[in-house]
Amino acid sequence: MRDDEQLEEKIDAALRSYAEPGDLCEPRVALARLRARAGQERSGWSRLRFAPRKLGIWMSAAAGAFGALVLIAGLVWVFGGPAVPQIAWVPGAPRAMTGLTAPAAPGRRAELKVMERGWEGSAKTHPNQALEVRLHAGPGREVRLPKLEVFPTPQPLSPEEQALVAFAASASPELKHEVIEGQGDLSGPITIAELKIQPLDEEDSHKQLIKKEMK
Amino acid sequence: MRADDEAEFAGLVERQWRFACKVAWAVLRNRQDAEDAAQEAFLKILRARAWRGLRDERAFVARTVWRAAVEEWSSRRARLRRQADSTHDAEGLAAADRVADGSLGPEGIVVAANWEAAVHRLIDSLPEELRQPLALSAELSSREIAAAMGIAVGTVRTRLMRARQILREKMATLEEKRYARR
Repeated sequence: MRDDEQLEEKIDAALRSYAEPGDLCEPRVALARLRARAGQERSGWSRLRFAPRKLGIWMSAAAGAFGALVLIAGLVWVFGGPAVPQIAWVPGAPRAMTGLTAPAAPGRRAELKVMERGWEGSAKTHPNQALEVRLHAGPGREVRLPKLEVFPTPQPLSPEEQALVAFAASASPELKHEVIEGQGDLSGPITIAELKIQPLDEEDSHKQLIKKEMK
Repeated sequence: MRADDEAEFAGLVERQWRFACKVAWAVLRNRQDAEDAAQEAFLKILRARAWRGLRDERAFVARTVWRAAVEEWSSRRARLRRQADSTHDAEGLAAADRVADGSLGPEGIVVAANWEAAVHRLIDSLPEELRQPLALSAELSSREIAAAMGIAVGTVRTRLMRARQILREKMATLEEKRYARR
């Protein structure tokens, strides 16, 4: 037990000496160093504070130059560029076309290529700088009927259908009923009423024939 | 900085400089590096104006210095390899073992003759997670060590017990060898 206590005391003593760094610089010396370091940092910060100011000047100058360039480009585009002809569209003309260029002189034809199939066109410039585009259906253009709202497409009635409509409108209810009844059993055999044919009198019939010929 | 602020900061440095250096020394084991780490910590405090309204000035300084020392230790690790002539803690531990079991040869015998130096070497050979709280325990309480290292008080106590246990065993062996040579 005694040995353990002694060992613990030795450990404590060793730890105390272990944790002792020895001769350190005095606090006032450390403070002086700290002040010097802080002073250096402040001067560094002042340099950095100056830098953004300089950067701001440069950025302002660059923005100004860019704005001036944009302004000059806009003025050249508005006033200095070639006259832009105005297009007078023909109603129904397709808008998709390429190669439309204003002719050099008024009255001359312009190049035009219509992108929609079956359409042909021409363009020319008027003296007032208006570019007139005329388009018309070409020979290859299919003429299609307009799309109808009702399906199937209504057709005129056939003669049989017209007769049926007339019968339905004019026939009496009894007759309609008979027609319906008559159509009731189509699967059964068809019965035909007995025919009664009178015997012909040859002399009388010969006389009647002569009368008709005489008339 | 206003004059009263500067006076307050100067007072803090006057009061805590030596303590800060001891905390840094416990981590770095190099006097110059310990002073540099302490200076860095005080500069951080100065930049942040953090000395105002402190509830526990000593714990705050310990925490700040310990962080600065650990950063310093990480950045200068190669230079701060301690006197174990090793590149790894494991090798340092092995070297300390050689001191403890007396198999270090003539050089080891000379070192072992200096009891205090041998014990310091034994402490150096401990793993960092045990050595640092043990070294700090000479200056700080378990609660202060926990606050400085950012770990639980229970963890600090466990580590201290383990560190002392290892030290006891190695010192007992060292003492036996020492008396056997006499």
